[in-house]
Amino acid sequence: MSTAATADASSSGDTTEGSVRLLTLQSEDGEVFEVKETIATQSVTIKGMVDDDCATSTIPVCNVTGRTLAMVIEWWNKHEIGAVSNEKELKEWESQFDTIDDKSDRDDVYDLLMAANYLNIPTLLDCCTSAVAEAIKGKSTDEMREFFDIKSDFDEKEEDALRKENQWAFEN
Amino acid sequence: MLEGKALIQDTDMPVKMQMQAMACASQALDLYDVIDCKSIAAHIKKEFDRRYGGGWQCVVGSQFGCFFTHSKGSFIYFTLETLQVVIFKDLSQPSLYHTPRHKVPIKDSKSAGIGILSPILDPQIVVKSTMRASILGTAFECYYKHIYDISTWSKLEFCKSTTVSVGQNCYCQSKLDFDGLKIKSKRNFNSMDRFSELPDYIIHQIMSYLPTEESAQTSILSKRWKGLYASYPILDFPDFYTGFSSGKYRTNKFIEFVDASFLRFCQQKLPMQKFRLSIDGFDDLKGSFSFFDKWIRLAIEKKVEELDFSVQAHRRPMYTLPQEIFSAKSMTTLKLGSCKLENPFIMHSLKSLSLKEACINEEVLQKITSQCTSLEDLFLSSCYGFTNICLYNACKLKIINMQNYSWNLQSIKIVVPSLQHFIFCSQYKRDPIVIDMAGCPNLKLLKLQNVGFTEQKFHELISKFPLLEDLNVSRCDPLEQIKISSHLLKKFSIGYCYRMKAIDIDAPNLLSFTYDLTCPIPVFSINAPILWKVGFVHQIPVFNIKEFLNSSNQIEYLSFYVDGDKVISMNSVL
Repeated sequence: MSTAATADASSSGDTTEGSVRLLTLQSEDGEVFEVKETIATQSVTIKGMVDDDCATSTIPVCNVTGRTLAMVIEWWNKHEIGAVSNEKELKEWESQFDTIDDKSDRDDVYDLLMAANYLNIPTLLDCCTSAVAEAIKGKSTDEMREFFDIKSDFDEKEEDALRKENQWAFEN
Repeated sequence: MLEGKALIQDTDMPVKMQMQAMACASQALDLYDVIDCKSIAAHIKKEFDRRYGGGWQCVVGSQFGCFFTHSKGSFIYFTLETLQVVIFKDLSQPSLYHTPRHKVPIKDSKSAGIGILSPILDPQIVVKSTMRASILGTAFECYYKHIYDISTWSKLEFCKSTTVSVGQNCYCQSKLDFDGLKIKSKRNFNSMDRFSELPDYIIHQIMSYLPTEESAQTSILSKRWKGLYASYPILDFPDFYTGFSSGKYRTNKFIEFVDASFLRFCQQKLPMQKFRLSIDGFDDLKGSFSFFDKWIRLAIEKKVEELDFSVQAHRRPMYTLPQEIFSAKSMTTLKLGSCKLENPFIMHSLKSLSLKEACINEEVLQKITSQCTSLEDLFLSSCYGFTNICLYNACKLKIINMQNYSWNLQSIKIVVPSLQHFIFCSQYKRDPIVIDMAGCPNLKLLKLQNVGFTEQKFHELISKFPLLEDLNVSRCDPLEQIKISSHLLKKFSIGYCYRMKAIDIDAPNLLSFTYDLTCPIPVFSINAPILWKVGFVHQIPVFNIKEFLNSSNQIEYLSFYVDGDKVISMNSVL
């Protein structure tokens, strides 16, 4: 009898405290995540759905894989107001995005950029774009091509003409 | 139940679902007013989501055109009373806006029907001017906002379906191998060059973090990047120094580079976000004046939002700005350096105005601030040409920031009720000036540096700001005594006031107090339980900490800083 009473009390406690709604997000590859509404609404896209009252069932986040979505959710958690007590700690955590060394880092940043674009998360987009810029800063054209895996579709003449047109920029 | 009968115009739904659609619509009409199309559509959408799983879309209205791709067997278009209703189910494949990560199965794209809803139009001969095409175009633009952000692959897809729906081939049909292009771009996704397929605005954002030279260098990466650089809407050329180290050759190359950038951007037919040019020249820049005129005119033609222009020629003549600047309708931010403003201007969109080393007289400044009705932010640095400043009738002005004010400045009178921040700094000691800010009762932040104050004048000024939250006073000799009593004050900073003898603060809500210490220490009386930050100038003076602490029995925590480094911190033992 007494156990039932405590169970009741705790569940009712949950619901009153649980004015924070949980949203269910489903990634492209079918992984399901439960996220607090207050956190997920850092995404303008999801906020729009919540405001329009369309976020009642599972929200399909197509284009974003479970792995990436997990990273996005980690980002949200860190950036929730009051989650990280001081600026310095947050900066330190963010600094892991600053160094893009190998291929897998680069793929992660690409995936995060696409997710930030799709879900419309301005802070994440800023962080990732600045990380990419930081990574290519000071690189020569060939190094940049290597970084992005770009194969030049110019022939030599065209490239020379372009270099000449922007001579000032290349001589600096 | 409304008596109106539903008429099916077009559908590929199963009959049962059709009945459900119409039942749902008339149910919605019972619930909501006929003009509340949004609620009706929402009701139908939710009902369909509930019954048949997520991903349903619904459009309700009396006159609209739309264009979309739906999955097979999920589309219906019917009229009910005066309303037209469209219901369809989204394709579960990624939207056109995004580059698909995995290749789209061709089978699927074949089965996807395209529904086009618009009144039947007369066939016309030229495709590009038909109404139908413009309806498609408008729908597409509304749907995807930035058409130029869409990847090439999706544009081609759209192009192709448009030609199909219009029923005529456009001339590019023969020139482009659609299937070939599609296959080619697909191979691209599988290879690693994925960054190039990001939406333009993201790559532009990456460029914005790069110095100008480096973003220009990306233009030779590939054809895609050449196009991306050409459409980059920020033309930013900061801090170019001509003269000793660079010489005429480099100046010419620089001018050529800027000119080529303008030429390229202007071919894009896109609005310009920002144009910044800042040149500090020891040499004669006269030969470049015609280029400056041309660039400014082009920037304005391209509806530039932010213009930041500063040309400093050390030899005469000075560059005169073209008058067109002051009639630019789209400009929100204007920053000018080393110029002469002889005539007042009216720019209704202008929010922020910044003048550096500008010659401007009292009357022109007054007229500009009152006529530019959106102006929120005014920044003046080392400006000259006035002895008095009088600002009023600026209904939205929030921030006034004055740095290195003119040597002859005698008085300032500001009557701007919306003003929130007032910053007034000079690097040099000056004769006292008269500041009358009785007309700014909403001021929250006040920062004063090198303003000669007497005690009476200081307190008279402060008493005009009942809402003050942040006060910063430095180098304000001959000020000897400060007495402040406020319930709203949150931040108070005082420094380098060498004649200070007594500070008396009664601010129970103070959050931060910073004092840059000079010897001898003035007597404090502080009624505010806060963390102190006390900095010493040059060296730690010998003083009696006990006596210092005894002056206030409210201090909970005290830290000492010497040149920014914390050296002592202690809990007050009081």
